Amino acid sequence: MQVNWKRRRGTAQYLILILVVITVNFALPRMLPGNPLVFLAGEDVGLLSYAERNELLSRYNLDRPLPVQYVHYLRDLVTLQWGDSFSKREPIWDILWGRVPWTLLLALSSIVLSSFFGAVLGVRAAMNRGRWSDIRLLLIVSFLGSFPSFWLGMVLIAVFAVQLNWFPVFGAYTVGTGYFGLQKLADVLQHLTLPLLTLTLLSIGRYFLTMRYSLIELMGEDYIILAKAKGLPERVIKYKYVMRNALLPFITVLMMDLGFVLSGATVVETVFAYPGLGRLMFEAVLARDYPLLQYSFLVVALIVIAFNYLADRMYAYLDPRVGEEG
Amino acid sequence: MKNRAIFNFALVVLLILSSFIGMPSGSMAEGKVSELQIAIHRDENTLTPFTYVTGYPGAAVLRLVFDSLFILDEQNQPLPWMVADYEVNAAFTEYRISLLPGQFWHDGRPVTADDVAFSFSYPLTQSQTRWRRIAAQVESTDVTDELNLTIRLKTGNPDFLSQALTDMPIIPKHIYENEVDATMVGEALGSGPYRLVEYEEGKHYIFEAVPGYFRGDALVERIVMPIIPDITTIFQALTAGSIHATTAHVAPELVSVFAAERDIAVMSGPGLATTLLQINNEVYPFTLPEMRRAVMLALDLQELVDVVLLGHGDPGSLGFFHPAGIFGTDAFVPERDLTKSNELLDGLGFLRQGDFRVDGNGQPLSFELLVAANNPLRIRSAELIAEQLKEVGIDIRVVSLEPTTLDERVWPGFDVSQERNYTLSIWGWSAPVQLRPDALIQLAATDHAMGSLNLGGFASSEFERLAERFITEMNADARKAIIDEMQVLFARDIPLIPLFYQQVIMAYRPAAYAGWVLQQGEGIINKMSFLPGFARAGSAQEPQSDAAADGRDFLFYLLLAGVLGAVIVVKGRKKGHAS
Repeated sequence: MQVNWKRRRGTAQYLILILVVITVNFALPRMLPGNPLVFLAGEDVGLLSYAERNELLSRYNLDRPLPVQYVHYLRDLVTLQWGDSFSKREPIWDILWGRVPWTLLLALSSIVLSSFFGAVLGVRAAMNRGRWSDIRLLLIVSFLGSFPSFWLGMVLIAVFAVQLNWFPVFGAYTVGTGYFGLQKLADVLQHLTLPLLTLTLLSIGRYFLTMRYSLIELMGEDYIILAKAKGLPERVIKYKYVMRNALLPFITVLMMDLGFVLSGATVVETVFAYPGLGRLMFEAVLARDYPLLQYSFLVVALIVIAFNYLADRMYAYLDPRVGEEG
Repeated sequence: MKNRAIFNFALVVLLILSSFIGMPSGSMAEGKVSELQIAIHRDENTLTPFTYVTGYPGAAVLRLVFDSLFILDEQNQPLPWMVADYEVNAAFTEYRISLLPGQFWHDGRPVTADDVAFSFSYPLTQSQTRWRRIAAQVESTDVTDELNLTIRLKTGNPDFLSQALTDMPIIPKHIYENEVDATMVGEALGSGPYRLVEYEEGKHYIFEAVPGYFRGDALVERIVMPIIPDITTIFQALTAGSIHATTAHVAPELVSVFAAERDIAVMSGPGLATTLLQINNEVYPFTLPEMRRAVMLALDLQELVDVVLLGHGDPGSLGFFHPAGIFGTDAFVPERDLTKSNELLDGLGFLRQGDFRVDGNGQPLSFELLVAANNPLRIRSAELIAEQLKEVGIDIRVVSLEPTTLDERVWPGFDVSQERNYTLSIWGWSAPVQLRPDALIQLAATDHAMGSLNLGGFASSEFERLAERFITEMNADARKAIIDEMQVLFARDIPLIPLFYQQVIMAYRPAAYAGWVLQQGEGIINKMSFLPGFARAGSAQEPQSDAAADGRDFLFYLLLAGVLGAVIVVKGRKKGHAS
């Protein structure tokens, strides 16, 4: 009974969070200075007369009071009539549908790779704490993580795409080739490699450090010393006692990273001309494209919230005490 | 078990290598280039006259798909295009046009005088200001037959041919006539030399040459335009051979790099885009012409050109127009004179206190200079201006802002009647402004409709009188004389300070295609670059096979096969151990 109540409370918290996100998504773009007129009227926007300008704003409901615009926004959101982008002149659904898969491919691949290698290297470093191999890993990972993303991307392009010609410079696939099946898959993977490598190299440090420090902290815990004293095998201590508990902060970082990678890969997507959501949102901000901003931020926020929800469930599975706490 | 793993590995290798078979390869008709990859540096939407975004590269690429009655040639002089014959009356109110026969829309229907008449009326119902501004001048259109019509203007305009008939894209009546909102037409169906066959939002455009185009078949059969927003990536791709040309102009620091590249050629010409120091004439002390003059005299424009543009540009003319342009003269290119600048500032009572001056109230002569954060050349210019003005005791604080925020501060709501929120800003106007005979009126007239680009709030009754004379004057020489007078007034009163005109520099791979025609101030992406009779001689060459790319493919497939094979072998071994 108490568990059900807690779950309901948890669900209610998520619903409130979604409502807040919906409202913030509406308010934030409108708080920015500027307006989308140049995209609605074209490059010679300065030639609009006062009446023409008002007529145009009225056509897109931009002259209405903010509460009225908010009600329209909620109505469109619920009825899934998301309308057209001001700047791209296409249905927002179509635009997002064309972008989300690429972002998910890049973001999820990056998270899988960086978390896997970060964890493996973190365990290795923690087990060899203070030795040269630990210090060496720490230095390398910290060094890689300190690069600005655009710079690292450019270096990878210059070396692997321009000099060695191993990978393409830009895009998510080769345009106009008619590839299909395995060819298409290989082409997509080829294009994915450098942006993925950039994001992975930049993110790996977070996982490495989290895993390393968690393990080092746990290794000194009384129950680990007791387990060693009981003569339990090293493997059991390492994986059953230490790793499982170290996973909690690791998963927290992983879920937080998802939000960053989904929306924060803007620079990497721009450098590699990768058609993802990050770049789309950046362009929408510059264009003050309110509808596109609202809904693209919403999609990202919902994905992040969904993964946070998943993380909460995983905490309860990994550490039963989480479910028991009030 | 081991045998099975090896078999699996071999199978994967075979499968992957088999994918090489049947890879599509470009075919080429005799004397033509089968395909060019030209990177475009922005997404210009569905590329119709009502959905494209920017003047450049949007409108430039649009003109590959849509024709206009006249085009601008290399020197920006009007050239009849769809027109066989034309006649203009003495009052410049009637333009009689005869169309060339044999023009077709990309869906096969013939282009008629009805379409042309429709093109000059329909934009009035739409919000696209560029075409609406032209259509608003038209009183009526009189279609005589399939190929003949007369366009009647509300008032005489001698520049209608060079300004409007070269600009207005002719659109198909049968596509647009029932559309209330033209932006809903997603298909870019024109009558130009290229048909847009594919557009993927944020990814690419693909164009195919229209067979039997009335000005001759295009020399490049297919143009693939990947959308690459990052300029550095574009030039990396050009160096790698992944693209053959680009709409992006080469940054000054890359010119020497490309000049040293054997496979890349560079073309350059005078640029007509103007970078200027925009002054808010309504904010004290810039309300005083002497103050504006003192600032102008303290600036070293040649240093800006040498340091910021590495010499690839020309210093600004106080008359606004580029000295090499249609209306410009080099008489108004200023010389730095610190002594005179100091004298003017002293005369205004702004006396030095330490490094900087103070006004009569003891307030330091210190101003914010706003600049767009996404434009490194302008940021560097602002820094140099700050250093130069420091020499005469003016303190400049450079503030870089997100571009739309800057727009809102300098040009709030894109409406000059709204209150401005800046003192100084590094600003710019695109090349077409330099081609407008009435550019100075737009930049300085106090009437908000006429002076729609008067971002500084400049006001001068003397200038207003010149503007009135210009509007009513129909004689070409007399109009040019009035423009000259306006430039003299600009040089005297300094409503703004043109800093420089950056050269247009384009880079391309000549082995792929060398027929490029550089249109002054614009670039190489224009109809002339692709059509016989205009494209430079010896242009039709087949692109060299990209051996490096083939090698890259092979390496990648080999790598993929290796990884998959290794996974299978390791897995097989583990299973073997387990069993």
